[in-house]
Amino acid sequence: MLSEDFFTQQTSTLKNCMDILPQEVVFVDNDFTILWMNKSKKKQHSKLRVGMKCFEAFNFTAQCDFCLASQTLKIGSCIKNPVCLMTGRKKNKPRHMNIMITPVNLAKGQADGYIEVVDNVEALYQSYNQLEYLNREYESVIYALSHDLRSPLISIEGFLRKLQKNDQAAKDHALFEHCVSRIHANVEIMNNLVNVLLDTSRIITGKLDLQEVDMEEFIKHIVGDLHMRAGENNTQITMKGSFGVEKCDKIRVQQVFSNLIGNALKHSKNTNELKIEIGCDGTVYWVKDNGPGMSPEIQEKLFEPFTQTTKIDPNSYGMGMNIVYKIIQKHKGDIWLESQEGKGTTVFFTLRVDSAD
Amino acid sequence: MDYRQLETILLVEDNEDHIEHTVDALYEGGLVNKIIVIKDGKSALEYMYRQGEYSDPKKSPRPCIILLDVKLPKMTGFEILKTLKNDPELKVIPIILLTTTCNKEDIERGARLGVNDYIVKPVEFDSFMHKVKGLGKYWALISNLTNN
Repeated sequence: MLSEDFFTQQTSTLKNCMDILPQEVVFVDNDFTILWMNKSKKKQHSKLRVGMKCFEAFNFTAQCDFCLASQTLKIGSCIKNPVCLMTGRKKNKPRHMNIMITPVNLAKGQADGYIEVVDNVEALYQSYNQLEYLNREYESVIYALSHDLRSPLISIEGFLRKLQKNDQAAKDHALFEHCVSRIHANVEIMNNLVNVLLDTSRIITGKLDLQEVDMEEFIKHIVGDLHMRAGENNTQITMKGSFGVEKCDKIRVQQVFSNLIGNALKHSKNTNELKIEIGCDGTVYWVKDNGPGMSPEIQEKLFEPFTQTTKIDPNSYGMGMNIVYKIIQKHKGDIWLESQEGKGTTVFFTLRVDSAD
Repeated sequence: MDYRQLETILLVEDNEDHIEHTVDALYEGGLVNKIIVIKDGKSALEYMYRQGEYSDPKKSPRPCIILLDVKLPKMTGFEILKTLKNDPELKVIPIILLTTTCNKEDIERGARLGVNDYIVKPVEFDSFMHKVKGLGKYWALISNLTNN
């Protein structure tokens, strides 16, 4: 016959096993008193103690309305549920988890209770979201590539056929020249597109060349470069606010400003007295214009690759804002915009390079 | 042959090379119809509604068929398609969408908006005539074929 020591020993072994699990495990009485919890649970909820009521951990005075445990006790069978709780001081940090609650008889003669096992799947959830985003991006790149790379191919094929078919082509120098020069032009289009894609890929996979940059001097230099282009359009480019020293990849951030200012210039060709303001309040940078603005549909897709809804510039592939987004993302910053049709657009962004790689 | 009687084909395409190849293909196949080329979406609608520089019906006749590129400056092919197919008078004019790939989404989107058919570029005479035949416009164009 098994002795009581045997059961004590088995219980101890079981508790040790549960202590090394990454999942949070807690044994609770049916009046919601915590009887035991493993190390993962203690680590996650430092205020939780054996003997206290489980709902006290969430600053409730009675059992929660959404309590899965009371449902388990009521129906007498196991409940498995994916749950998302907002955590943190401001309740703005989502925590995705899978919760499993099993009703048990804790010991002979005692009231029924339950075991709760919480599997934190936040990292998995984030990875899934990231993967979904990358999948969508991959699909749109493939879609755009199939269009934008095929277009010059169709042209090249057409000119080659023309050369092949036309007996006069060998004799007709002008026709020959025309076909060859168009083939060259289309090869260049394809080459440029491939370069844009390679550049995007380098931003994603490459490392940032970080350095301390005096942003005021730096932006003055960029504005100077763009001044010639802006001058054609009676455009004013001004700087506003306080620009400090920022740790960033100078070449990449120059690309951000050039793309944003370049976009404002490109889309505002019909705007009289175009005004572009480059600003910073010490944390947030912005590029503001009084151009035509964007419809909500365009705003929604603006940062996705190949998002030209209509072609304004035949040499553009709609990758500029996607590249900007990726550079900001690489600097651990955020980017967002405010735009109203007929009133202009302001693109805001931050650079949180201290936490970047 | 009296060219004034010929039916007009409207080609809405911005890529100069594709215009050249399409026009070449149709003329080399023997069509003698007038092909009017419009290079952006906004102008295509102005043409169809006879606005601005297209207000004279003699200079801007209604086309018997429209070849419409998907990606266009100022307004996409889908936007033009939607506008024309929602117009009680103009919706009868067959529209063939020109795409660079046989992308399912583009084809389905075109179908939802009422497109009559589509051609994957490059436009070739045989495939064009095959589509035209399906649209019942074959004889309107074939009667204008040259003998060569």
